[in-house]
Amino acid sequence: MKIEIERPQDSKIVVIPHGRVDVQTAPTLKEKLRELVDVDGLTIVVDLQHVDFIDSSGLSALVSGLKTLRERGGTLYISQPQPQARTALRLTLLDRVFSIFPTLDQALDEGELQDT
Amino acid sequence: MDGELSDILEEIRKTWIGMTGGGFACYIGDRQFLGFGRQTKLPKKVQNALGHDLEIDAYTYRGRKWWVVQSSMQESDRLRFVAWTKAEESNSYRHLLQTWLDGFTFGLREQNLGKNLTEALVGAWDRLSFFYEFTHIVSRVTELPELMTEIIALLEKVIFVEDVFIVLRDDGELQTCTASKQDLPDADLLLSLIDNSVGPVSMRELKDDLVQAGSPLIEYGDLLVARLALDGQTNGMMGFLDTLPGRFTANDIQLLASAADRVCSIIESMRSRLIWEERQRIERELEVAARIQASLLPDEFPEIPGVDIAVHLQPAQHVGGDMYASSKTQDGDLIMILADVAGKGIPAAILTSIVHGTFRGHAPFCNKPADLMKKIGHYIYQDLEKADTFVTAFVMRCLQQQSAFEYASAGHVDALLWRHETQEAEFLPGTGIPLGIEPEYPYEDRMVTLHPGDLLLAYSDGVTESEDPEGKVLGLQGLSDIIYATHPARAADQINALRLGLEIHRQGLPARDDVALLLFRCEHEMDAKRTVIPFVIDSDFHAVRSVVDLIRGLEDIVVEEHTSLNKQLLDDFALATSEILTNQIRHAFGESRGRIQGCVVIEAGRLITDLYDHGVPIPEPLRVRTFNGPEPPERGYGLMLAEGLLDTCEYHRIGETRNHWRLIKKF
Repeated sequence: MKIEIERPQDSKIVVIPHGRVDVQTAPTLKEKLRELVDVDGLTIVVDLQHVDFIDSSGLSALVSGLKTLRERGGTLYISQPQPQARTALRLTLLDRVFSIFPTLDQALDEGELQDT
Repeated sequence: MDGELSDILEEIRKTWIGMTGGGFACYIGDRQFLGFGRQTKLPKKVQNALGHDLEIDAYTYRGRKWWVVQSSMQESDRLRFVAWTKAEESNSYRHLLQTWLDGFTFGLREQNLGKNLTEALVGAWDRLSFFYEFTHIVSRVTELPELMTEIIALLEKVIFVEDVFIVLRDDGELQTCTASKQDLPDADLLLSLIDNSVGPVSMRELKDDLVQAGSPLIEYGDLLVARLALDGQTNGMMGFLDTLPGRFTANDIQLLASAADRVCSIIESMRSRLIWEERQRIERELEVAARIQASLLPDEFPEIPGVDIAVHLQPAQHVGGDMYASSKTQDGDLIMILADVAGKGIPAAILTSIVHGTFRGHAPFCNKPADLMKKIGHYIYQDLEKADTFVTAFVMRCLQQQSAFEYASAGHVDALLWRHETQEAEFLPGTGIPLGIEPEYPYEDRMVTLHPGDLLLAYSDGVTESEDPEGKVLGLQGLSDIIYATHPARAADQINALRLGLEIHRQGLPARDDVALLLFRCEHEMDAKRTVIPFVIDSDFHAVRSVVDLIRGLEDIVVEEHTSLNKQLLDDFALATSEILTNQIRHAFGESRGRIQGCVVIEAGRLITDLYDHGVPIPEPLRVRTFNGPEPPERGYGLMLAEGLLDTCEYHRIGETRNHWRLIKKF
């Protein structure tokens, strides 16, 4: 699984996984998120535009990332989930846990508003 | 500069250029004797290398390969070659350069530089031309005797002596080749005398022993012999004979030593090449044999309404001892045989052809499987006895009118009969002893009635005895597990599932025995109303994807009057199936490995996945978990997803050994 990382600002990181986030690849994403959280107050946006399949292991990785961030005063947003991911988030009620944005920009702006 | 020396160097230069299209220069000390034009400067990188103590070094510069080869003599006397070529770097060029250098430095070291330089260089040149020619011979000659003759002819040109000989011990026999065509006296004795020698041995060292043995070799004035150490043992020798006492000089010793080395290495490589060519030949013949054997097998069986037949045969080697064939009886019924000749490979394969021929010859005149078995047994008895082997066989005749079949089994592994009604496997025992034990054994027939959805699987023991890396066999249990899970599928798809199941069971090990499968299935009225896709996977998280792909790939299947399954539906169903599979892998097998088999079924507005494994029972039906409050749990979303996506998600324990999950989604 390819994971792109962008850092538009010091306190904001965009994580863009590609392909499938499933039982096989979820540990990689989980580990990546854990590595990235090296300072307090980070906002990480996981952009799911290029994820065409996510299973419960993938969701677990996202929850784990969220918890890691929260422990250090940060947060994790999700942007552009595709239909399959939307269904998965809805059925697991995780759409109530994560802030989910239709575009990446909105997710980044949301962080902006919270900062100020 | 001595005229002759420059002639020699000029020869070397021409040879090198002729061979490689490159260039060449020679230095002794700081003086350049020849090579490229004096005005042309060497590349700096190469010039720098000239000062170092490297014996040989290669550089790539301006798309060329440069070699600097230098002697390890005193600084003032240092002899250096610089050679370059556009050719690819090749060990033989490097080797040739090294040989030249060896030749020159040897000469220079032996003689005082300047004093007898010319003579030394002439000696070196002898060796060089020998090796140059030698290279050509080696590329041309393919047989050992021819090689010996050619090498002797070459040595004769280089060194003027009474006789040149090469003796090789091949399979205990001594093969001698001499320039004079005369036999070499006491070759055995000479070989034993030099048994532990290092480098060439001369008459001076051998004289006492030869006198003591009264050998006629003593008649020669001088003798120089070097052993050929092949495979670490004395497997031969080569040498020179001359009438003049003390004839052989240091140059000759050096020539013989180097020649013996080269001859050894070339004979060894030639031997391995001969072995390799022999293997290639056998390989080619086996490929032909495999094609012939495969062509004997029927590509397809006659169409019989209501019956679906598929076969598979995979020899462990190119050819094997398993076979099947089909024919029509006198009454027009289909009659089939599946046989397994004890043993593998070519001997077994030859016997399968005999079984095949006998079956074809007699089947049209027999109505009863037992009669046919008796005939086959009678006719092949002598062949089997001579070959000291036996054959197990299963012959079945399909009785269309009565929805039944009749079979006779000559000690063959129990065929598996799957009963649709009871959803259980029965096993059909032998009705006589293997063929080749008693020529006139009275085999018996047994009649089996069939009902829609029933299936019969005849197979060879290579299937059930297939071992995993721990030596555990697939067994009847493993075979039944796969049939159990895949039985609603078409015969050909089930055969594929069985093949896959075997591969998974072996976990990458090559098959040790031939595999034959013959599946005969009575169609069921449901067959026309559903599509069944069986699968078998390893209990590994990596394998889950293959099932996900299988389900997502159903988009193109047209169901019921132009309706096709939409992507959303398939994605949801794939996700639900993958969640259950993941769970199954995690809970049923734990740390150990297992197999999961099942089917995806599309029927009457439903998508179904049936999953079966032979792992431990799931302790209690897993419940959907929900959570309250802001802190979500990190795990446990799998069943929430599966339950949320499916209309039905059921778990059953079947009997003592099987777990069954049934997932249904309506559309």
